[in-house]
Amino acid sequence: MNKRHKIAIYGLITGAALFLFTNLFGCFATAEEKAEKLITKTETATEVKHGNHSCCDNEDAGEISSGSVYQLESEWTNQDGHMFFLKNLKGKKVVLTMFYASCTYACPILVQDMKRIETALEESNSISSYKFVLASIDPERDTPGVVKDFAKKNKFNLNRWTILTAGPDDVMELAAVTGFKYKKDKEGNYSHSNLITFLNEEGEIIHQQVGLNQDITNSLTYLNTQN
Amino acid sequence: MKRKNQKLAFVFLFLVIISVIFILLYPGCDQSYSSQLKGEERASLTSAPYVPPPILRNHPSRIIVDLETKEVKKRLADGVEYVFWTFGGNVPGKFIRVKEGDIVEFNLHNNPTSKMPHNIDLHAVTGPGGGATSSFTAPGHTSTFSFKALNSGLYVYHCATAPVGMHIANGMYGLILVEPKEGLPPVDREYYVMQSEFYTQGRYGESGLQPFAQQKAEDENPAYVVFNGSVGALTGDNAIQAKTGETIRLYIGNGGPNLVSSFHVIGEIFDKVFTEGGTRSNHNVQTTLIPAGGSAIVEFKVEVPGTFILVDHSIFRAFNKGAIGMLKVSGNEDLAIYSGKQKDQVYFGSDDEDEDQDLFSGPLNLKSLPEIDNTQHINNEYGLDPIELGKSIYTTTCFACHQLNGEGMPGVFPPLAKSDFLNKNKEVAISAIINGLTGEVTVNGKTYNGIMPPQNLNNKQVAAVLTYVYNQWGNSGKKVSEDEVAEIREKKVISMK
Amino acid sequence: MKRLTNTICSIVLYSGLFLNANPQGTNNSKMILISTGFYESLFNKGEEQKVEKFYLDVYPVTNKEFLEFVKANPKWRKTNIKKIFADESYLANWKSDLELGEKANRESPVTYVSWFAAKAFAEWIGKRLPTVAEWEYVASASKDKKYAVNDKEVIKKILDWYSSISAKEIPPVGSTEKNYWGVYDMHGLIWEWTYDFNTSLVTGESRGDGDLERNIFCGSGSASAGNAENYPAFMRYGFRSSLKANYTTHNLGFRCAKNFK
Repeated sequence: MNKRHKIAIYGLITGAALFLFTNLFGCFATAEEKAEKLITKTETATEVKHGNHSCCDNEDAGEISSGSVYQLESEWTNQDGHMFFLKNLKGKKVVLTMFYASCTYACPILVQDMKRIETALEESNSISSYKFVLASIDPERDTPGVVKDFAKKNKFNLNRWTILTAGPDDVMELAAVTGFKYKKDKEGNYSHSNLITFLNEEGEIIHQQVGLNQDITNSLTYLNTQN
Repeated sequence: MKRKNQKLAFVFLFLVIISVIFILLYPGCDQSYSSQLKGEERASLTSAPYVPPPILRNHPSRIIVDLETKEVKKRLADGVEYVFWTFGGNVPGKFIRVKEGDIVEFNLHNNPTSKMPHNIDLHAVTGPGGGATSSFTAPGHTSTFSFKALNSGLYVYHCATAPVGMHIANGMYGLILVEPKEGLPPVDREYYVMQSEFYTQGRYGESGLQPFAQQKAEDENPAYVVFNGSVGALTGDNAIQAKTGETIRLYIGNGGPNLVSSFHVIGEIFDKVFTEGGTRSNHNVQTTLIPAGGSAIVEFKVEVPGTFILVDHSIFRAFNKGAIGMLKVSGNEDLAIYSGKQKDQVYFGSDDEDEDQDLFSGPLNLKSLPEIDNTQHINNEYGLDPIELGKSIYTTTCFACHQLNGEGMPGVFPPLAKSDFLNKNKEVAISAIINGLTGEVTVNGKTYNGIMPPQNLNNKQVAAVLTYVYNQWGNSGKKVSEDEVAEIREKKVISMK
Repeated sequence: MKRLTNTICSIVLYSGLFLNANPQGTNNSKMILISTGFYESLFNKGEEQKVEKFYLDVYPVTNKEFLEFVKANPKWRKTNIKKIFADESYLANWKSDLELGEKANRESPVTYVSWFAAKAFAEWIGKRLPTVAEWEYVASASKDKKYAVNDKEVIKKILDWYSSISAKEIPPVGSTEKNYWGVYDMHGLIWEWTYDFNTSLVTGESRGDGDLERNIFCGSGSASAGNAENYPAFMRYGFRSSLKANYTTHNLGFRCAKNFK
């Protein structure tokens, strides 16, 4: 075989390989994109259809904003038996969950979910601006003593964590404000939403994490982008 | 050696350039489509039978869809009203058109005057509930969620709020088209047709505001089966239009809630059917099944002019419950494809009773029918004279029960041929068509006790079909005028005696 | 001149109201004693819940009555209401803070009120909101039967209202049927708030509601629906579960209850 021919054949083979390669690559790019199967499904953001959005209430720093959970004037008791108003939390970002101490299924998981958030915030050194609040929905059984034990058992850092109890009506109001659903059964146990609520420094709801063992990335993004 | 290397490099370079040119021209890879998300636009939505224009973009975009759930009182049939729960004010809901890869931001607005909370399950969504949980919305509120349109196809959407059957039965469904990346081949016309059933307290045609009948819905026994939300939404002036030589694409959906549709266009063959709204196409199809909560895309070229009837070929639904639509094709005749009627002769069959079984094996006994008086040629809406119009109505509306030969079915449907009942009294005949006929009647000495539902025909059509019947099969040869029909329609109650 | 007459009228009217400041004194706040009984929740099959005897308003609370409440409690006026307690359509059919205007008939039930506003009204008047169990227990009566939820005719009648178009202006209280207990308008006039409206543990994805969504709700009991025929109950539970406590809508009002001592 002539050398020149050989060269031409080598060249052809290389060219063809290159041709195939580039083509395949081009095709795969779209296939890959299809395989991505990414679905962005943000949680329902429900808002009122009519009316003016008073987004920018310019209120005094001391006043409680119109959309703040701290508008609730209910009286709570903390794990040390001291009286506690929700507005005491003002100025901190709050991670809030409603629970009951004798819950054996979801509440322990929710607490772990909150702890994961705590750990993540510790790592980012912003932990000092946060409060972690558990509010009991079981006024009959969850006395300050019981929740104090609960705190010990779970090794909560009580500089950051607060466990609150209150009367049934005050519990109902907080549940109503946060969209938390719950129902007591005959045995005195509760069915309830698995819900973690995030409040900004004003006490306004900025995000809610629905479900157990959720990926916390999304929630952390909300916490970091606010303020 | 150096020279050889130079040469090699030259040849190599040459081949690289050639292959690059090839790549750019190679059609299979659709190099023109860029998968990068670009831009944002508001989806234009249309009410049936119209479809938003094709999407010409060659890249995915962020699409904003605003859809309002609204409870409205509207016409279900002539004289019949119903409270429809809708997506966008009409049944079926607005047609949504997006492209594969688009990110759809969906805003579901529930009108402040709604009694019910509503939500939306789009079959085009990959995710729990198809969006139902994320879109559950109280009256006077708006829910927002977004999804990526991963799969191309034609998808049903519907409300999924409890009791879900009732929300669908009241009209809460529509179609969303996710165009494939490369788009759909261009056609001349596109239309949106959706079949569904209504379960009313009153029977078909019973006038007044008709409430939802839960028991009938559970029994899957609808009073109405319709295209595009009401009887007549696709007939007469509302018929969809085309010209000869055009290719039509129909996006067909079935909202259910219960029945599966056997969708058929009388006198057409679907050149192409994307079965169940998916990617595969079948060719040369007469009737295509459309499941409840499913769809199909059908394409066909219309070669000859005329009115082509859309039906659910579960045929009683078409003729007794309203599942009729029309495609009116205008243009020039093509007699090579369809001749029209060339002859009309009387056919006596065989005289020998024993040979009845062998009807078609013996010599045919034909005799020309006397010419029908055509002096009163009326140019009606179909461009037909009354006899021809009457015949076309008979062969679509009446023949299912009374048979093509007018003999009826012994013991079930009375005969119209040589019928003493019919020939005795025009008024009774007119009334039977417009008001229906219930209870015992005696025809040619035999009693029948069935129900004839009122027929959804206008005065001209009633006059035409009766005139046709009176001039067939040894009947009295009477003529019925529009005025006579109008008179009976006003009187309402006619004694059967 | 006209202005002067108006002013005089207003003064007369206002003074009349001050004289009538005792909220119990208003006409419509008549209550009826409902005797003890059992109620079966739609979502807890076979689980009967005891309803202790209690008092229930004969009629829903009217615009007129609610006007007195906002006059006495500035916090609950249209322009003062906090976002957390009511959304932007709060009292949307009222002309202004203290005027009903043409769209809100004095004798019609007050609507466009939030759960918080309803609850505050009830507390102001010395009452409370009825529970879901109490409300459903009374609502399960027909004209002449104490328990009629399986009566097809009754279901049909209720369903007909649920699937009719909303009245632009809601008719006055007392314009629908009086039931077995002597209570009016349980069906056919408006939806009504209940104290524990947030006890429907459903997601709005109705097809999955036969079983509790374990990831979203921690459940100790089965949530399977009992009576698949009871469409009206499905709709009420569905409606309640679509609400948040600050929502206000065209068809949603309330009536009050009170404990039997």
